Amino acid sequence: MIEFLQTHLPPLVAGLRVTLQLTVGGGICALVLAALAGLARRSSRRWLRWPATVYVEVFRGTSAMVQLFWFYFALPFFGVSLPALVTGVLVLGLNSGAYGAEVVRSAIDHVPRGQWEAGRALNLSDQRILLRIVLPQALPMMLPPAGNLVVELMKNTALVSLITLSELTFAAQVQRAATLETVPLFALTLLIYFVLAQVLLAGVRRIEHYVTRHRGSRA
Amino acid sequence: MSSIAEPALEFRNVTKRYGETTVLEDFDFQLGAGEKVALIGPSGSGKSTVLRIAMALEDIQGGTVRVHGIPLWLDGVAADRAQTRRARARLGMVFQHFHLFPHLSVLENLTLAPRLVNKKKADEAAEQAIALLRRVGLEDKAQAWPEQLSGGQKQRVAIARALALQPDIMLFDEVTSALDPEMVGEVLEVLRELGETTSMSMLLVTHEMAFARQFADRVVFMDGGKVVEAGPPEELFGNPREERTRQFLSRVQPM
Ligand SMILES: Nc1ncnc2c1ncn2[C@@H]1O[C@H](COP(=O)(O)OP(=O)(O)O)[C@@H](O)[C@H]1O
Ligand SMILES: [Mg+2]
Repeated sequence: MIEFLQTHLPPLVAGLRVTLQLTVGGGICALVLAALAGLARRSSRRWLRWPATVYVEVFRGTSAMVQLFWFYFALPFFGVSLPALVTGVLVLGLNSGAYGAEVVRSAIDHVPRGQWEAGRALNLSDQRILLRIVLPQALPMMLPPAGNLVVELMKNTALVSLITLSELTFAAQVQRAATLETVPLFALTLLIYFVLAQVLLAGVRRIEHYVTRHRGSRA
Repeated sequence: MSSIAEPALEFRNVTKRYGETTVLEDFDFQLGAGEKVALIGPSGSGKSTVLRIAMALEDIQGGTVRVHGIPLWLDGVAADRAQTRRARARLGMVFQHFHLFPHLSVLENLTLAPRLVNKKKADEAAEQAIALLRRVGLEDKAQAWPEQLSGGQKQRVAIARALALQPDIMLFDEVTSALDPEMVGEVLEVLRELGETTSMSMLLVTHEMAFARQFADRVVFMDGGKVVEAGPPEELFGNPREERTRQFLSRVQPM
């Protein structure tokens, strides 16, 4: 047991570090894109709405793996060569950001129309209504689905092994090939992913608790 | 502020459609400065639409709307944003379903707009808010959350919130219709007090005929997007001229 861990843990931890970089980098990228595209899709301005819609539909409607191949293997033909890690962060971010945009949009749409009207009747501008009235109510609605997306993104990082990045899954494969201890090795790998998912979900729950803390017993 | 001749609200030849449905056609209406008007009529006759147009919450397809002389619409052309906000600054509105901001305390519900729109200092806005809450009998609820209030209390907070911007005109859209019967009285009492102690113009959509009778200077009966009959409450309720008014009144206030 000790020996098994001594042999395998260091390479797996090295892989885990890359997985974490991809998760955090992709997550930040996704957050920014989700917020921008989610708001743009609700805009009254066509030139904002239209590109956001194309982005969301393209990235939701195509395979993440093919997107990855595209960015890593096809873009160089157009003179754009990105390092593997940057490509990984970008594609994971773009992919989750597209789903996240729908989470943002749907949460904003679920704030009752009366809230906008009450704000307008108080002569608040639409930006202020969005910022001070609608988003604070939409945010708690966004968090549970956002938590699922973050876990989904973390799990998708395994795809990045296909473009030569040695993240956790890739490291496990390398160790298996070298030692053929297939069952315990993949059991350990699954355990690491599982713990990571629990940590991410606990983090989201903390944020949820924080943003709803001022309220009484809101449903 | 406003000359005697200038009405608080003026609708001229207003046409309002939702797609194919025409809700108002060549609609004319005036609310005099300081006047208290009760707007009555069957459900779907366009009463809420009139209030919502006045507050610039709805587009119209033709006609002119003025708020204390400031055009919101001139012959079907909308005012720009700055002018719309200037007109809105004269108006306050209370909705059937309150629309309090659930993520803000009662006090914050009252101070948000004065701070952001009128650039009031926090303590000044709070002081004014407390005074308004006292006026509607809810000063002890300043720190409560909206969801902790009863329907009647919520509506009184909503009234105070609208008053916090010191409007010249108040619009009330069936403000007691969503309330349990035992809470109607406390809200009507607030309206009565406002009507008696202020010179604000008030346009009140209501199904409370007894209240309309004693509250209003003038009652306007609408049906099918048109004013059918208007007059002093004793006349309109006591001796309606139009058959449609009579039918409506016999349905809502059985003998
Ligand atoms: N957003 C909307 N879309 C389509 N029709 C509407 C909308 N709002 C109101 N209407 C229609 O307009 C008419 C007048 O509505 P409203 O002004 O709410 O009447 P009232 O307040 O007198 O009950 C009704 O026939 C209603 O169905
Ligand atoms: Mg109505």
